[in-house]
Amino acid sequence: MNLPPDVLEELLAGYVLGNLEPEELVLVQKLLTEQPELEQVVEELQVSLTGLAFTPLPVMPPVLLQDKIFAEFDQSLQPPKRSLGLLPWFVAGMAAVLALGLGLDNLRVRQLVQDNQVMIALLQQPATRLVALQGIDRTAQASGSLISDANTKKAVLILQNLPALPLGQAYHLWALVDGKPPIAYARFNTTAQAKAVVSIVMPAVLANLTVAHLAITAESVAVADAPKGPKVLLSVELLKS
Amino acid sequence: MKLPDQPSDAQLYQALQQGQKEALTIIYQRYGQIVYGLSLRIVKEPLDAQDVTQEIFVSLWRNARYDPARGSLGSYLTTLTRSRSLDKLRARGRKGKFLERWGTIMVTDTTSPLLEQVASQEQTNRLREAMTQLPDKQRQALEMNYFEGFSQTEIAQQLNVPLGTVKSWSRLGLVKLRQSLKEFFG
Repeated sequence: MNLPPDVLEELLAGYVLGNLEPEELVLVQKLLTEQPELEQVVEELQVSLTGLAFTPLPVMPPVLLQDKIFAEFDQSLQPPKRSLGLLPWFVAGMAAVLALGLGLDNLRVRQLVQDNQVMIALLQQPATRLVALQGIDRTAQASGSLISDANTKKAVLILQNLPALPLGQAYHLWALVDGKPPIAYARFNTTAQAKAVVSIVMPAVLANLTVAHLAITAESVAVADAPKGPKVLLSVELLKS
Repeated sequence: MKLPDQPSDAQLYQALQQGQKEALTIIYQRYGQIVYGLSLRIVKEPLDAQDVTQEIFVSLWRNARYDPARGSLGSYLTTLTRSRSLDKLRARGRKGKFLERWGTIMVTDTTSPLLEQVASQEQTNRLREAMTQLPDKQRQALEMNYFEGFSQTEIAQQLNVPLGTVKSWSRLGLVKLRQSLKEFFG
């Protein structure tokens, strides 16, 4: 398909900004498959956006702040003291539920607990669905969850302990629907910290389908139209079956 | 290990992991103002920006998750700072759905060799200049999304324009930012 260059670039900008309509997303994914050279444009747009982080003018922090940070550093060199903490029971309970459900480490759970109002809002969404994912074989340490909201057609994939793939390769999330070949759900890479939090607009094709299970594969190409690489994580229910 | 006269970020980070306070001093001199300036831009409140700055620097030795092989310390710190600052905004209880907001926040949590180039002073100046030359609406749409964590829907509501218009503004704005950096992309 040949789109005018300015239309194409705007679509790719929407892709980077995460503001494509579902049908536009399908089109862009198709174009990226057909024209791998567009990945360079996507990266340049991504870098232009991410570069904004450097544009605010530097500001001198208060001197007291430096003192506080350095005091904390000095303290960290002391032998650690164990403490049970004073979290209210319900927050501690929430942390435990999150740790199990999301497979997150303690630090991340603490950060999420700080945002407990936000978490409560999420959990109150009637159409929110949470699917736990577990690593297999060489990536058995990996774990995570897909949280999806059928009403807004949005989902967030959270993963940890999954090493980043080299440039040009990508992890692919597949929706497994009974009686159909795997459906491309999202593609991503993890960070240097072996983590990923991926915002996903649910593919239109999934709108009226019941997703039975999820699988994540490591593909040797940036965009794969069918799973060819090794499976690295599966939904926990699939592992049990 | 004694630090060289002009230690690299990677050398400083390694020394920090070994408990060398001098390394922390130099890292803070290099990046303290950038981290604090970015956080202040996002959270607006100095006390919140100080909290974020403290958290970012403490995490450098407490979590030790920075990998020098994957990108510059500056990129790592700014990515983390933006993410934590937007978390802070969220925690203040602004209304809106969790997924919408998280979707806005986390998509750029990556580093790339190209970004290392943009992180240089010259390119940063070019990007600053390009932002000032964008039509007001395009700049506003990008800034509200990037620095304030608003979803496109929220921006449309706040500016009282159709959602499609906001999407178009931010897409066009981003296209122009890329064009402004074109010579650096080669």
